Amino acid sequence: MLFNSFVFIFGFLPIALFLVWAVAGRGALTKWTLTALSLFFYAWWNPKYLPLLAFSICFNYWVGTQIERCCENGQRRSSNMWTAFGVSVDLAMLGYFKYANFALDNANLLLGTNYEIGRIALPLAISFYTFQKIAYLIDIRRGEARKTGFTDFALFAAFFPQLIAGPIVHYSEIIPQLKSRAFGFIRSKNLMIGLVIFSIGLFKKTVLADTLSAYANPLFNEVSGREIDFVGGWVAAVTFTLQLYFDFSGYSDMAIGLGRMFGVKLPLNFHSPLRATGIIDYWRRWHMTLQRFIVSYIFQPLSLPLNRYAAEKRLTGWSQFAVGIGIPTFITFVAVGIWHGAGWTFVLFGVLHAGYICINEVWRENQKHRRRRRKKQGLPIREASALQIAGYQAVTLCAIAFGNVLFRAASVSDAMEIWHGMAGLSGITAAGWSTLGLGVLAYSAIGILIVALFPNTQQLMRNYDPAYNWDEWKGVSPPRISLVWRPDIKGLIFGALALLLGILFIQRGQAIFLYFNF
Amino acid sequence: MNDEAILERLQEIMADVFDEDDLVVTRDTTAEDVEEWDSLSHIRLMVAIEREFNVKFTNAEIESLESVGDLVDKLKAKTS
Repeated sequence: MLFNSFVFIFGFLPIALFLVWAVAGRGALTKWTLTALSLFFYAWWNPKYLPLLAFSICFNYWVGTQIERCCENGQRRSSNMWTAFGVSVDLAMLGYFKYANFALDNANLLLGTNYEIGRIALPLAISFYTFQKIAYLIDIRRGEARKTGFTDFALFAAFFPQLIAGPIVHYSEIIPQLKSRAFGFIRSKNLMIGLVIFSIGLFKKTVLADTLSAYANPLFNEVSGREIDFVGGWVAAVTFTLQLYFDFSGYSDMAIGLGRMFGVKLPLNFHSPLRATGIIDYWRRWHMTLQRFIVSYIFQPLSLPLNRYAAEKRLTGWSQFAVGIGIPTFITFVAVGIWHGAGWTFVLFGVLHAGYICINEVWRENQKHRRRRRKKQGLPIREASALQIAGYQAVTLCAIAFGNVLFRAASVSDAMEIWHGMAGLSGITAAGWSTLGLGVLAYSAIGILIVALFPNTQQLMRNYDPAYNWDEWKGVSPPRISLVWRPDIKGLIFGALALLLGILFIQRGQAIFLYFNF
Repeated sequence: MNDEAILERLQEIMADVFDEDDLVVTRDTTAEDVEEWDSLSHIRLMVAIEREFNVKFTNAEIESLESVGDLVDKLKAKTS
């Protein structure tokens, strides 16, 4: 069931709220009601994969119990073995459904063989719920999470607002909320705030993202059919970049809003990433819950021994950079790339972004040295001017749009074709100009203005502690135009309008969220 | 080693890693107070501290640090 569908908004959601309200304050019954509703929500898409989700929940709960038992008895080795076993089974499951076809196709190609296993369909949400479980197991092993009853665990794992495409939540963020006395009571304040956040997300998805996709899709789908020129290439890259942002951040707003309606605060997934002043900054603010997973469980464990090695060998300069930053960054970002899908476009997407990060890091080091030099010479250190910052933002955005071509293109050669056009090597053609209609200009301008000037959803809702980790982000990247939502006439009209337009635009057809493919 | 002594040595290491000569570090300092302190430089800082104090951190310990105060406590426990 999609959040942006009539059956969800007018059917499932009101019924779910009513049922939870009806059994509020009944402890386990309230929780199991919400868990059952969540599983029903998942099964609506395809009941065939429900057993897989149920297995993942039960299996990881069981392994978590074993890990904790070993930790309590001081059996370090056994607890490590259990963690490795659990994570391996999770990864094997993900690997089979997500990467078996890709691996076999490439092996066949390489060896000239012709093995067939048939096309394996990707079960909805598997990348997300698998990562959530891996984080759970490692957190238990690291002593950052304490196992709880199965009732709370099942709800934590199945809770429908975050089930399909995140935010990827940590156990320690959600369980205390589920255990609190206040949980399960539907409160009018939470309902209102949640509904406004949900409406903003719905508007982003159906009004902005789906419209932008109508401009991006034809260009990406017919790459081989027509020559993509300079104009067409940039229209494709810019409209898709805006589409992807409004689509996924819209989805994340809806998830956060829905969680809030049930009294659960979910962590932020986006904080105006397209306003970032550099690629490193961008990755701190884009799909934040995936990013922190990657940093905690891949980048840091890789980078720590490599940096120790670099320090032991007294490496300096470029060799230190290559070992301490280059290698872990490349491995990490290739993992980020292929997490999105099995394909060479995603591998290259990872490599490209790792390259960006390294360039950003080198540049930062240079700036630091320059500052230090100026200080030694007694020269004043200038802060970056507004114009300079705008320049950083523009360069970053162009790099992101350039990279997103790989993210969207059906194949590497399609991406090359579009880059060829963007670089101006295919010239400017009449067909290219014809892609530049009033609609595409208007929607791109609206998208860019929203990104550049206006508050993001959580900044708009700042008076109501809009997300689990809002405190960490409330001071970051304040908007040029500061607007704050209040429950007065203006605020209510704004919320109603966003919801109304969001719902009206569903009628055009319900497009799946881009991240449901991952 | 007492808190002040550890803090003093930490301040020196941090000034060097973050390249800020006049950095003032207290128990309450967190990553948010130092512009250069992010996940890339954090690892370099940890390795520099490991070498200076001749200790080793696990990933879990590095994850659990919230402030310089936590770091001082960890180091005190490890070096005593």
